[in-house]
Amino acid sequence: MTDHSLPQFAVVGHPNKGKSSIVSTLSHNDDVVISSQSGTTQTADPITVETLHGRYQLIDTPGFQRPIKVLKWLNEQQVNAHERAAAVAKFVDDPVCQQQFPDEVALLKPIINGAAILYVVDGSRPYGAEYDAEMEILRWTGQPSMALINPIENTDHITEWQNALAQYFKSVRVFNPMKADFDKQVELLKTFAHLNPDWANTLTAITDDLVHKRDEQRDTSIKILARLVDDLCHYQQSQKVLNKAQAKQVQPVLEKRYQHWMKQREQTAIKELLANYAHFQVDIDLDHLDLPPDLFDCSEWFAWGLNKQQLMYAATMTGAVGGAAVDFALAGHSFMLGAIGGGLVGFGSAWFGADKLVDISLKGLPLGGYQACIGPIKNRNFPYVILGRFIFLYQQISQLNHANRTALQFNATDFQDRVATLEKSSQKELHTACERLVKQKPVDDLESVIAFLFD
Amino acid sequence: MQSSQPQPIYKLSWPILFTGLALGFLLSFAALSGDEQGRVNVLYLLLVFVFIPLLSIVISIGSLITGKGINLARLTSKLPILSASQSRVLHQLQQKRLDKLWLFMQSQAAALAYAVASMLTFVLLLLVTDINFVWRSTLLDASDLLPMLNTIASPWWFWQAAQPDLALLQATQDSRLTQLTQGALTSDPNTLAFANWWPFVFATLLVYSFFARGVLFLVTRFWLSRQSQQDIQTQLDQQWQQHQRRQPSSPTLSDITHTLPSHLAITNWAGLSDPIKQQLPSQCRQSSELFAGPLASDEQQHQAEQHSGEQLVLVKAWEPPMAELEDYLKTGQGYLLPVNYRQHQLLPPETQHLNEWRRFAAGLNQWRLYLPEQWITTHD
Repeated sequence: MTDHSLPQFAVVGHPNKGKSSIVSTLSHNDDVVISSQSGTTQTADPITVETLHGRYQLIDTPGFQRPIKVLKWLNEQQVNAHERAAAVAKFVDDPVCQQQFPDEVALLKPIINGAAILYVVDGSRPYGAEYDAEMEILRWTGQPSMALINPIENTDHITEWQNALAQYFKSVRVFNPMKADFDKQVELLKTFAHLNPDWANTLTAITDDLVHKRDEQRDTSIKILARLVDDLCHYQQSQKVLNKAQAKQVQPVLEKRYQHWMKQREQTAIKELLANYAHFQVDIDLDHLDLPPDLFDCSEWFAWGLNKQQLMYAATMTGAVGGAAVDFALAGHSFMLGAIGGGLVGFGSAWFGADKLVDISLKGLPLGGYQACIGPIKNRNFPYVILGRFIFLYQQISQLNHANRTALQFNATDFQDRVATLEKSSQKELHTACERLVKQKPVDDLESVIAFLFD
Repeated sequence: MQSSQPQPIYKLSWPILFTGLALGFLLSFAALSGDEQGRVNVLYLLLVFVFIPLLSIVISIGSLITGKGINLARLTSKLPILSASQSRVLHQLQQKRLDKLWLFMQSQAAALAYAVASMLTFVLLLLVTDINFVWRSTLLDASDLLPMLNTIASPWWFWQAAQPDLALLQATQDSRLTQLTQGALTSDPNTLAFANWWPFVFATLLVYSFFARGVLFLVTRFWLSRQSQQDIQTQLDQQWQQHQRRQPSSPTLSDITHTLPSHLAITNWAGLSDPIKQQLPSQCRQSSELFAGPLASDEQQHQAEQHSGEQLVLVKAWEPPMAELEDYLKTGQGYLLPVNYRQHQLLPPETQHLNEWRRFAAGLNQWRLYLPEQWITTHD
């Protein structure tokens, strides 16, 4: 039994014109199979989009395969205009037609059951009269409809298509499921409300929920990053050894284990970020993901974290804050020498420690023997590098459409600009937090400190 | 996704457990040892086995709800006794804001260890020494004490031997002055009564130390598990596990031929215009032309279907092969030529389009895919 209060949209059209891509992008679901191979969708698959206050269905359908013959069959019924929908229903129910035209029956069935029509064409290729039969069949159903022009390769033939489609559809929109950003997706969903006034309230509630969910996804991303940077800045690998010579022997093994853990932890965070935005089919080999530049390639850190100048500034700022506390404690009797001295110490350590990566230490154990330890990384730029890399991935993944399954690209980004454009107070909070992280001190509310970077 | 941090959060911390165990042995032994005559003040035992456990439960629950979760486990964790993996677990729990709950759970486990140690000490001392349970008070007499003891014993109302009664209270009231005036306890006719307190003390220990902490431990463990399941990282991990990555399919592709026989009919399935057709290589512009496909009339279609010789079917390269073409091809034989053009200019087909036609042609016995030699360099 069909629920007519449930907004349903059958996405129909020629094979390989991006129907599944549109369903995937609008439903934020990359489980929808997309292939350059025509005929991938063989049955009408409803994808239910469920939010807190409502739900709607997008029905991915097989493409038209024999539209000329189907239209011929319909015309042979010799019916008046008001009986055309009934003729299509008869076609769908006819066992002979079900056998001869399985694709058309599959795609027309949800429409006959009340789904609105979203007709998809490729705007990068010219309109052809062979499409008329499909559009005419859809007109026979009498269901509310909208045409979507998908500029798969380019926008060369959009006007031509707009003119042709206007003959059959009241509403014609251009929508690229591979590139349309979140706002465009929401905008399109809002226009669906015009297809059936009974669905308007539900669709408005759904779009509001989607916007709210988007904010939640951002907050979750912040949480993922806060935990990542906290973990990476605190991690230490250690092993008990009998003497100093043995400590030297295990050093490469320890280093390897340490680096492996750190990389694994970052990959876990990337997976979490992908899962947060429901990207499970992105073409990325997470088992072998080694972000270029390598996490341990210090020479590249200035591209991903802060540049040397910014790092000096950060160190001076945090050093000065510490010194100012001394001034405050001495009620100004230090003549601000604390702040100035602290700033200079911070500046100096940032300059000379910029290339320092990780310490290997040897501790004596109370019951004899030693413990060889590696980590945590004390380099001032390290937290910024983690932040920079993650923010870059966040930008890519949060903007990635679910129809787009191409591999992610990794390049240095504008993280430094992002930090530079932060308000002074936010910069100060960030630098202080990073300073504390490098010193393995707890940072209260790290999430709110780094939230500015996600704006 | 969490493979790099597999440490279970439910694993009990041995240092914390050991602290509880040690405290249990020490305090119980101290309380049960009594004086030279083996006299143990029951009121002291109530302090150790009822009052301290109940007070610590109230404090730890109160601090869990309102404050920073101060409890035995938190105090113990400040000492450098936790292993690296446990410290890491605690660090993760701090990130998830579950550390208070974890420490509370560990604290209940420590209290359980305390109860077990106390019971073991108690049973051991009952077996190997003569514990004489007495009570002393300057202000209270037996009738004052009985209601309080009855309240304490109410949870094991069914165990009569472990219920206090007035006669026992009166018989075991002790005074240090009496000892001096009456001599040793062995001469007292009520000597056996001094041992009759043990079921009451044991039940007290069992209920207020062991069962109370056991229930709290299980409840906290369940709550921790629930909270941990609701944590965003756990949920994202579960989502990731639920979605299996699909492997790309690799369909069979047909070979491409670059030569055509000298006699064959050209079937304009795509409805190509004359300017486009004229740009085709000469072998594709033979005199005999058929017209079929979506733009052909019924008569033209019928005529094409009746043709028995080989055909070269011109199709639009970017349009995927449809079933109506497949229906038409079933009755004939020959070659397929995917034609690509832009702005009326003929172009070689794009690879992804050509592959789609090759996949289609691979399933046809009577048909081969043809591509003029001029276009070979692009795709071979």
